Amino acid sequence: MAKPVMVIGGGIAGIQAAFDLGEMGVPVYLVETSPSLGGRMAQLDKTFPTNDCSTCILAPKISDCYNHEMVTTYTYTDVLDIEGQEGDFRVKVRKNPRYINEDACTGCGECVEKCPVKVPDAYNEGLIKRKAIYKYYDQGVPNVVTIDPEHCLKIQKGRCGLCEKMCDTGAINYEQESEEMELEVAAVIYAAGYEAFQGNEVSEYGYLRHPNVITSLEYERYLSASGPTEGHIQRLTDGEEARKIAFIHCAGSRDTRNDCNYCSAVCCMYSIKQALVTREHSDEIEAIDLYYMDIRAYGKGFESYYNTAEATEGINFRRNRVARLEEDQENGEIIVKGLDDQGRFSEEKYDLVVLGVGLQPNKEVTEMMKRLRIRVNKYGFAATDELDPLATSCKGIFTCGVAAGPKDIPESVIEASGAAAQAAIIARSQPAPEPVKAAKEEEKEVPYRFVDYERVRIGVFVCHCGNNIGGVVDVPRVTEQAEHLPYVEHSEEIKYLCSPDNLELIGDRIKEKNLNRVVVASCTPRTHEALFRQAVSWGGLNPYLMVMSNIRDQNSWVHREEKEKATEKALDLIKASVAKARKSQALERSRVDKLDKGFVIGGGVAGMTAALQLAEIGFPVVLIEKDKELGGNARDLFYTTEGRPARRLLKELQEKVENKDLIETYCGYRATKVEGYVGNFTLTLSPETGESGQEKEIEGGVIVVATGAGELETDEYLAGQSSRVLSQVDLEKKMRDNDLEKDLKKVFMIQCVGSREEPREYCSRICCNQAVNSAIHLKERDPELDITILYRDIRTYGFYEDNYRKARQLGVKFVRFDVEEKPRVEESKEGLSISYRDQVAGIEKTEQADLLILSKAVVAQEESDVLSKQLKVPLNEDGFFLEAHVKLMPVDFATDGVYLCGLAHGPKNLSESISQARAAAGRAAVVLTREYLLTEAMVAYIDSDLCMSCQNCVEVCPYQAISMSEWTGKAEVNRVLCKGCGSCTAVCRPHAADLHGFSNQEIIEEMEAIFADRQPAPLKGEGK
Amino acid sequence: METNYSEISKKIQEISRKLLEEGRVDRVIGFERGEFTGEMTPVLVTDPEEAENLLFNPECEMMLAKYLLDYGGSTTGIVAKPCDTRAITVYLAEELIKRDEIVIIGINDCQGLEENEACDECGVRNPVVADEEIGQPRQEPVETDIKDDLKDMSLGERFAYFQEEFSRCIRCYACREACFVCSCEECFVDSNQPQWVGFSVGLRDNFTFHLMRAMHMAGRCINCGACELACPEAINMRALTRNLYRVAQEVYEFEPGLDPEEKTLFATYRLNDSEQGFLD
Amino acid sequence: MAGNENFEPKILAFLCNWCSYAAADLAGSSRMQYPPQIRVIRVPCSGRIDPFLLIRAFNSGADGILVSGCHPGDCHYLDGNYYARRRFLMLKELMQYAGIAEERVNFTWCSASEGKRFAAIVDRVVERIKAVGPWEGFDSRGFIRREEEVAGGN
Repeated sequence: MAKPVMVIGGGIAGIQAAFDLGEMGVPVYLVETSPSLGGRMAQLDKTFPTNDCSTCILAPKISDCYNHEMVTTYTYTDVLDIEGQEGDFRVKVRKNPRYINEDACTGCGECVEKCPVKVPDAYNEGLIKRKAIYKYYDQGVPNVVTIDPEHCLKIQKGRCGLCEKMCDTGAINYEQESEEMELEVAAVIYAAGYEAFQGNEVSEYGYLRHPNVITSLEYERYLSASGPTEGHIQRLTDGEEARKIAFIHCAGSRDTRNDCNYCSAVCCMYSIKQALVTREHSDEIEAIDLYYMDIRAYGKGFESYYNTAEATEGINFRRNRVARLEEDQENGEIIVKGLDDQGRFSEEKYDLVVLGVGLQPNKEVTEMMKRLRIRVNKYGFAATDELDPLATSCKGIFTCGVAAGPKDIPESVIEASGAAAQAAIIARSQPAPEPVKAAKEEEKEVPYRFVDYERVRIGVFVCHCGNNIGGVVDVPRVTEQAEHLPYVEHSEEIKYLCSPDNLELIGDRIKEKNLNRVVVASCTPRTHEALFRQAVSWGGLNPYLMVMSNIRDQNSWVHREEKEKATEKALDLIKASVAKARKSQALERSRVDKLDKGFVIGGGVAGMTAALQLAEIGFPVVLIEKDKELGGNARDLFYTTEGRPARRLLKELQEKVENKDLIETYCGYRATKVEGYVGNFTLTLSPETGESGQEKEIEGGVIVVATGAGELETDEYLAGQSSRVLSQVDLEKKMRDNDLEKDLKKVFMIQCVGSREEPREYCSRICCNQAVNSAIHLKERDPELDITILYRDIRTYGFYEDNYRKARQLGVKFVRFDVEEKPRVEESKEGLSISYRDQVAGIEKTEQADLLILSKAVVAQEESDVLSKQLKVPLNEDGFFLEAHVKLMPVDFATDGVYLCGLAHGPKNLSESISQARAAAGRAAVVLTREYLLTEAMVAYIDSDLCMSCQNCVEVCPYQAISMSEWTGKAEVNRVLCKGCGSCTAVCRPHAADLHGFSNQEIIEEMEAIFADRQPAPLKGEGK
Repeated sequence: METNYSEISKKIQEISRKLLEEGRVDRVIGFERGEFTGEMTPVLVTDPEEAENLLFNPECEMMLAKYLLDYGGSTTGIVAKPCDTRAITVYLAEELIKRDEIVIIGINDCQGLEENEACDECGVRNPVVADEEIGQPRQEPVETDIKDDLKDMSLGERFAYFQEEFSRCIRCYACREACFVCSCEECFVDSNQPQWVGFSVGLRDNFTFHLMRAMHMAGRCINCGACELACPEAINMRALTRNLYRVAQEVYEFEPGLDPEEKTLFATYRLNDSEQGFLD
Repeated sequence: MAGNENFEPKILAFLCNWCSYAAADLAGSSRMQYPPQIRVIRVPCSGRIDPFLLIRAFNSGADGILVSGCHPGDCHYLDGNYYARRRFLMLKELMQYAGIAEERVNFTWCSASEGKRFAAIVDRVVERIKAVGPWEGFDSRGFIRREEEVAGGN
């Protein structure tokens, strides 16, 4: 039992951190200042680079977190103060009054409809109106309304009170007051997110003055099907379709005037996404022009996304510094005036201009951190150390997501899992104070009644949901008719079935009437199934013997004017549920034993960090490295990205690993065989050829893949052919060993060697920073040295933009080239000569150089495919390991129990590798901290009498949950790995595979019941 | 050039005898002249001495591949027409049989069967896979087309046509027995938990049965025509399956039974698969 | 017009739990109105849907079917809808070839935020099926001509 941790901020980072902690058995207080969880991501339409629907992927995550037994969520709550120290913080919070009794509110929304007051809707960026009583957004969690006291007539003027009259559950409380609490926690995670840069801070863009200049966050709402224009691309000013749209990158970023020199890291990509999505939405678009300085498509899969956009007709990339936006008074069109990359003035008109606004720190959060003496950087984000990137300056307080600097969703999620892992170490070392929310009310081991051999006795409960259902559907009639359905023993109508009293009543009726199946006709199972299952279990019945009919969200709410037909439909849906219930089976989540040990494959910085982190959480680790010594690529590093000596830091890390008792290191070994599944892996370790040592078989519960990456071998630009041509790594080695020529006069660097072109269509991410840093170091040694960097786009994302600026201030020359017109390098007796095209001047230049430094691509390990097959995890087309979900599961594989970090995932720097390693360890610890693994109940099963061993199911299973039994040769489902999608069921020709909870039999019964009135005679002999 | 069937039969006998004598196979499946009716019937030879009974001629219309499913775990030689080798390829792709357990005696330059219309639509005249080949392989490709004799009918005419066809179905399941694809332990028509389709003979269930059957075959049916040949009511059931064969060919460039490495149609996908006819 | 003016179709819809069923719920909480002739069966994933179930729906007497899953790429179970897409296309071809009007066999995608789209889809599907009239079953010999009239012999 651990002491709680507080997570501040209920966006995607906070949600991930809270969920991971909960999964590790640590109690969590999740505090969010807005009325609903979800944060910025909930406002987004699609996400790059997969164009995933944001709501679709976020909503399940929110509800998993909110419903987690270890997570207590306080929404609409502010953090006032934090006192104490690591292991013993006292956090003062204030729960603001919603003027709603949250326990009573069913979220039905009747009050919202009746409320007469309209105010700008912050969720929709003020573009449309909401009511004074409102739900922050439709899918918002918790599912309750909130009264905006500033606009409520009752609270302000004592008039109206309509919502109170409307509310049948008496949830409205105009007298509610704020409530202050002090919570004791062991650690704190700051995941407080950001503010979007306000467009009006760049005055020459005329945001707010020109109504057709909007921010990207506003445009995101335009694109959303639930936004103000319902996804149509039109101007809000006059409803005209927007045919010509400009996107202005870096609005408020990379701009010293606004004290925002940093790059906001995500705007290039979200602008590209918005351009692509716009194109998809409308064929009417004439042109989408993106005005940019550099396209920073540096993340995994970003470059090919950018290439897609570039190849899309109607999307144009213009390298152009926009000077000002003016409005054509006559038609509201916006004139974009700028300077193109050849130094010429440009001017063009657009229907709509979208400002790619940057990410700013939340000012209140910055103030708060300052007050708590947490160091912030000069821009107001939490300051962190690049080698301990998730810790703030205050011990025991961690940070993740944009609170510590601009970054995208997967990186925020990675940091969240990493911060959770670090906080868990502290929380687990502290005794739990009383009273904390009890850890898993130790699943009361109530033995459910055994009903398999009983005659089916169904109880039907029909909910009025006040007027929500009752006002449309003739509930009494439906209830009465339900009673005559086959096997129905009891049918009852209830005003609010989800109220605590009535939930108990269900249990009572089960006992009283000896029911063995329950049908609940009410709202949607997506939100209420868990609740009603629990109620059924109170009656001593297996919770999976309950079936729901959705007669509200998908019936009474959507057929309000057609009461008779809605009533018929309700009855059909209940018939279907009754028929399904008759065939439903008692299901169980079974326990599977698991081992405590973790494997880490790869002994570079990522692998060592992951191993240490796992060991510090308290688990034994086996660390496997194919080389003779630990260290990996970092052995060749001289400076870190922030310019610190890398060698010493590496040595410290190595010592820590070597001194940690829980870590068993196998250098010169390689995993040659992998058997088993999550919780129960067996690895065979064999010594590398030429190494001495015994083959070993070791058992463990999880595997972290940290096998790193390599540097491209190439002969381009005379690499390997001239002693004057070095790679960035060579240069660092020379600097480290003081081996550089003393009288260097002129140095060239060429970027993107082997990156961003066939056959490697990705950006190697680290090289721009590496080149800029090397240039700074060289300049600092010798200010007279002439350095020219030939580049395609400078991608010094985030705060690294500061280095770029510094390099330019030091006089480093940056010259751009196109991939079609690469520089040419020749060597003669006189030395190296480099020819390139100066695009601004428009002339060819040839210059002599003493040294040429190449930024060579980061390439995937060639042997990855062997490991990929052993672990049954995929590689992407560039040979890097492919995570389960690019956005929200960045360190997990689809195969449970296997995790990923470091360069094996894709190019990244030391600091990012460390974050990801901590995250991978944290995710792995989620499995290891459990006493046993619990399977899902609704999983697939295979009738081995029918199985033909064709393996189609093995082929389609996304989770590697099906394999062929060694004994029978037939397919078998590993219940631990199965997530219940049912893909195997549909692909199985002999119908040997089926799915608990959604079996063929159950679905057919539902269908038959719905169409019972359409059939001349029953298909089957089975009657009433 | 006239095909010399006695030559082929002799070759089959030689090879089979050798395989059995050397112990490379436990049995050879082929054809012999039936004792009573005089028709060509399948025979299973285990004794090298009996290999001389094996015959091959244009009357050998049955596909033998399905027998392979019964002999997993031991070695079998099989006399295989090109369509048999396609069936074997489908089995190999689904790992229903093991390659090293079978020896395929393939017969080149198939002339097709006169009474099987499907043979006219078949372009595979040499074995797709074989260990022993008999006869000269046909070199020039055969130009064939999957026929569509219903294409000029209107929707309603087609419905009426199939109603007429399926109304004759007596649910004897000879089509199933003849089909090499039909290899389920329990056929869906026999299942009662759940009952996919009614057992009775009636147009509603007959029509449903034939639709389900066609869907069941999709991506595996090689359009061999065995079903139709076997049907005592001469129902044109192949109309449905061969249409799906053609669709798979056109939409997914997929033809079953040509490549044992290829996954079955429904156990794979491409990111940009067609969505023709979906509501946008 | 075929069928009769008062024809009330009964349409079976299979919706995947994570996107399309959520979209249908969202249409509800946003109080969008759409025709009540649809009966929804919830399944975890469009990849769960065996085409037999859809054929069977017509045997049972459904006037038409609608299947909606997550948009390609959005599948909660990674790629279930990609497999489903192939089966659906093939089934659609089969049904149409057998003489069943394509208006009766509807496939689409709906994301969790597309409540509006879901409502519009139901509108469209109901219209389509109303236009071809009641499904009188595989064994009804009488109604074929009408089917043809409306579908225009496609």
